[in-house]
Amino acid sequence: MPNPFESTEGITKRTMVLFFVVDTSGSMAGTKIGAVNDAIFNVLPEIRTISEDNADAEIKIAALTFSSGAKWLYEEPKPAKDFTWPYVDADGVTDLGEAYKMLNQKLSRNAFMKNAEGSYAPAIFLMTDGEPTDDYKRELETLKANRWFHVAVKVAVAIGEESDVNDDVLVEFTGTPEAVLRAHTPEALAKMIRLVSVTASKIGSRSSTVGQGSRQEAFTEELNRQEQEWKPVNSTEDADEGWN
Amino acid sequence: MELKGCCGPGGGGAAPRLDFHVTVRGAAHIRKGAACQDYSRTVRFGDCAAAAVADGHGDARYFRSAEGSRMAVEAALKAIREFLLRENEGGTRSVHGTEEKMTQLKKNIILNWNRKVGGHLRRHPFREEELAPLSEARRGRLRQGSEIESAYGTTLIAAAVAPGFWFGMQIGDGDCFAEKADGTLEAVPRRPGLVANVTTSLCEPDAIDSFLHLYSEERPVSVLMSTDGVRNSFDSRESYMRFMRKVAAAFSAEPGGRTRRFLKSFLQDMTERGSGDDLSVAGVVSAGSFGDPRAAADVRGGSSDLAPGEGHG
Repeated sequence: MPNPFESTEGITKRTMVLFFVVDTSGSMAGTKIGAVNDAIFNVLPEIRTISEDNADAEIKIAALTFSSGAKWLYEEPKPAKDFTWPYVDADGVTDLGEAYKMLNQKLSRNAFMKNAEGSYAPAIFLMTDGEPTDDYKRELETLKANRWFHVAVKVAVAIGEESDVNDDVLVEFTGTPEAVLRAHTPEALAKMIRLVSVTASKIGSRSSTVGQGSRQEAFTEELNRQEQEWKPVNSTEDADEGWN
Repeated sequence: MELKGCCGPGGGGAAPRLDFHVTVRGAAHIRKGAACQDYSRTVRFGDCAAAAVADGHGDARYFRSAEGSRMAVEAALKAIREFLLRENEGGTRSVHGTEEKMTQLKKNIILNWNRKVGGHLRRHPFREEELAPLSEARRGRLRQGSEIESAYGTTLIAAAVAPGFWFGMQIGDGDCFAEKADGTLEAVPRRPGLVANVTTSLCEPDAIDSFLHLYSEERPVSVLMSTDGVRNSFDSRESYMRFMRKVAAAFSAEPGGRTRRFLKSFLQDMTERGSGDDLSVAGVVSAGSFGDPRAAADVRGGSSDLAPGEGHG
């Protein structure tokens, strides 16, 4: 008698989507956008390795840029091995609300979370250097009602000095100040992008955790454990060179 | 695994009832050298049968979840057995005061589990190597005896079938449902709003609020349950349901060790190609109620979705 289960169809791996949400407004022009471009480009091989080494989940990447409006770099999340980062330019204003709106549209079973049966909670990584120029609060409220956003690992990097970036805006996004980092220098930014991307990819593709906020908690715990690695470059001691 | 044939409802001419359970260690757990954190068992007594599966949380914070899931299944089956022996005395065919009794049963299960956790911890205090990977704050809480249950965190699904009724109860992810003779489904509800790999747990202080149940006096031809690794190995609910119906049909047609070996072998392959998680499938089926198991998914009618039934917290 043949095994009656052998003909079973539809078996697949789970997926975890890592979202890069990148400010490409005019104030990012020059060193800042160059550092972002370099850092994302350079971290991709490491994410590919994490995805390939993780036999239980595939990591996919989606990228959204925002300035005067917002746009997805690709129509759907791409497997890490197929994702390439096209160096982006900076120009225009800071329509963060538009980015939130578009993010909300894609955090859905009908869009980027199609493989919802086996999907892990996504990781969303926001990078910005300025104050939003549109009504971001209204769109954030809508986004917060999205269950995928609610369970996602959320982290934000403020690029630049305290006087330039409104931390409160980023804390509103992440839900906790512990998940908001500040990059005073291009070197710090590069290390943060690497650390956050790698940590989020690892934490995001772990098995079940308890409670809606637990994945965010696990992420910040992991960041704290690695504090020695990133804190020195995040300190004011390195701020001399700045972004000029 | 135990596989038992059991006499049907009251033995009154209904098809014999068969219970089964299979657990396999996840491919990811094997690769990492981690223990199997799933557990499953069934029990049968008189004209009743019960099954339970539990899935210990995999995160490092729940470092004793393999013990936690075993204790959850044992706690549930003990409480359910006592409940059914009491309620089924004299061939009772329904439960009066259902809501209150179901709530009390769930409280008894939680209490049993907490006692087992406490007893285990007294015999096996936390070791420094277990605490080392945790954050300082979490280590401090556990050392002070606070939130100790979290180390044993687990989900739990349990169901029982008696002559005049069946019920299922669930806390956390995974699936539990019954299929009636006409192919329609009744599913145990889960707390709404949970997506992705986030779950509720027996280890939470408000566990009773997340512990939902479904009680029904509709006669099922099968009551099936699985831990989340099973459903997460499929690309859709439809694929998952086709597989689970195939399981019911296979055990209904041939309740022997061969079917169990086939399923175990297939689950070992499935965890490799699918979620990588530990996998557990258990249930109670009526003998001969399905057609050819290879065609079961096609011959059964009804909804293939798992729309939650009318459940009660």
